[in-house]
Amino acid sequence: MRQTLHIFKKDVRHLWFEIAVVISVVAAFTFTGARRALWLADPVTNRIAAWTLVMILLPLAWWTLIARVIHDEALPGDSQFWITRPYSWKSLLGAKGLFILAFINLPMLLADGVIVRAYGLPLGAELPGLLWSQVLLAIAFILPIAALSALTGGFVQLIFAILTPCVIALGVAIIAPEVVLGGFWGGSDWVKAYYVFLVISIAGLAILVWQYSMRRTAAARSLAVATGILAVLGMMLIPWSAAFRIQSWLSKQRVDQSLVHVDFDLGNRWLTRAVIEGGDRVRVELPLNITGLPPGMIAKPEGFSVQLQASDGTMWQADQLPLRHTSNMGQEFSLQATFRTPDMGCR
Amino acid sequence: MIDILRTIDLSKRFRKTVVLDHLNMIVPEHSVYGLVGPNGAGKTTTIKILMNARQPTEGTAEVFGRDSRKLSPEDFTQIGYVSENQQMPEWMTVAYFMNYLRPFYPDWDAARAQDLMRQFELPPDRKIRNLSHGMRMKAALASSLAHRPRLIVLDEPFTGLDALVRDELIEGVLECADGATILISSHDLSEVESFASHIGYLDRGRLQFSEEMTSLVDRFREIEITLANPSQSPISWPAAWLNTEQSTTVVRFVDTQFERERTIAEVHRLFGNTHQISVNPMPLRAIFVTLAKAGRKAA
Repeated sequence: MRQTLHIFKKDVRHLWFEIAVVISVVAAFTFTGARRALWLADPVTNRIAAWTLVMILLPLAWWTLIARVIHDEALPGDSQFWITRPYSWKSLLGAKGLFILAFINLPMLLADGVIVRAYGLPLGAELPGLLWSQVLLAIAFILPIAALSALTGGFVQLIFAILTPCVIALGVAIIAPEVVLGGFWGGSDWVKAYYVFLVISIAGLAILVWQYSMRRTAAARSLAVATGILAVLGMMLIPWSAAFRIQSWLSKQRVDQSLVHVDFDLGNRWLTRAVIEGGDRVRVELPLNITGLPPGMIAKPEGFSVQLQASDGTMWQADQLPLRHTSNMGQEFSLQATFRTPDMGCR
Repeated sequence: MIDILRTIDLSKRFRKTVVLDHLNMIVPEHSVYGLVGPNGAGKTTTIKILMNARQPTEGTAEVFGRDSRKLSPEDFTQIGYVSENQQMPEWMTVAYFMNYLRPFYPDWDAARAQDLMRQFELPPDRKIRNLSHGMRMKAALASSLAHRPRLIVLDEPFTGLDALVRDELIEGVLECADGATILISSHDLSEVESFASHIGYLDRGRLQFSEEMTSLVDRFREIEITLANPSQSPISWPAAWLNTEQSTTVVRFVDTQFERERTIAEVHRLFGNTHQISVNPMPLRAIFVTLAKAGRKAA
């Protein structure tokens, strides 16, 4: 612990200017955040541009500070003075962690607290949420840059380490945008984000511990590349149904699914349509009626699986269509499913 | 005598380039071991592996009898390491640098640190980035001697230094050694020959020899023979003879395994009667050059 504090004090002394910049931006975040609602209501005093600027500056200031503090005892390379000195890797990692807690997490926690109080909300009740936001801040903003900084020897290397996957993503976005954007899963979309957070947090922590304890940069860089691939593959390959099951499992309000029925809405059968869209595709519109929902609850379609059986026994199937193919009309809604017809043609 | 440093079949490859090739080296305790060899011989790589700054491809390196990959912070409290290309904390002043390192070493001697700063005329308030190369090396050395290390490792410490600074550094090291084992690498033998007790010659990743300085100087002789009658060159020269030259009546060579009776007997066996045999001891630099030339010829 003594060595941790000793290194921490050295970092504070060295990076006082960067710390001052971060604290200033956090102060601006607190000020603009506390007044944002007022500005939105009153165009005369509107300073939303300042808020936008703060939201851009804040991560930049954090990332600079994280990179600077980690690069102060850079891990890749064999010529740094500290690697032949009696540094304990746990103390060094602890010092860097303490620095980030002290100058990123703690100021942000205080800033969030001030904003919550400014809106008249009780701090005690909001504390779990504020702490959770610190965890998300650590996973989404701190861990990735800390891990990349541990894999690079300086700021220029770090910039290229960030730019390289961005350029690859840009190329993929031009060639195959659906890979980058993915499908929108409505209320279950958070599962994708949390999957990425989970992969980043496990890999980020593993890279940090590995690099600080072993300094095997080549292997750790391979792990970082594998993490990126795993995150992208997961977003592409996790089925919507799995995300929906997770969402249902975590849902606080339980619904007895045996009571809920989705039936053909005989009262609105005139809404039934089948449109040949061209090629081998047919769009079918069926009015449905949902019964058995608890009072005060409405159904919101996010995806579905439909099987249609023709009179001759032919089965048509449509799976998990995304939300943009549904039209919500309150308690009554219609689903638009497009079916690919069997080889014999459209029916 | 304990072996403070030891390498066992140590090899290092960078892709297809072999930098160290099954290196077996022993540095005994209390010795001043000069690791010499031409540029690119593998000296720095050997030292970096010993200091756990790089990983070996094969084999092991041991420091204090422990695998260098497992060196702990406690082990490093007993090591003072200075390298020509070491990255220093440029933003620190000399005094802050010394004070910063102090808590890392339980045996840090503040009085000695002050003495070293005075001896090396280090400006305490000057930032390291504003020091000359010589001053930087002095600051690095002072910070590596103040904790009375059991092992001092100096990797090409004199490169780019003028003679005066070099002498000051050598003086500083020897004054503070207190019986510590010293490993010093250099591509210039003259830098280490005045104070090394042991010498190892590394060439293209192989240790050509490693022995006590006295035995090395004893076994190398420059020999000139004046033949009684003109003679042809022998079909094959003895393996221990290097830089062989022959004119009609004069033969010159360097004997790397000189023993008076044996060498003279060998001369007579190859050339018959001789008019005169002149045996001259060789300075270390001449031994080094002979070996380097022979190595290149063999390559």
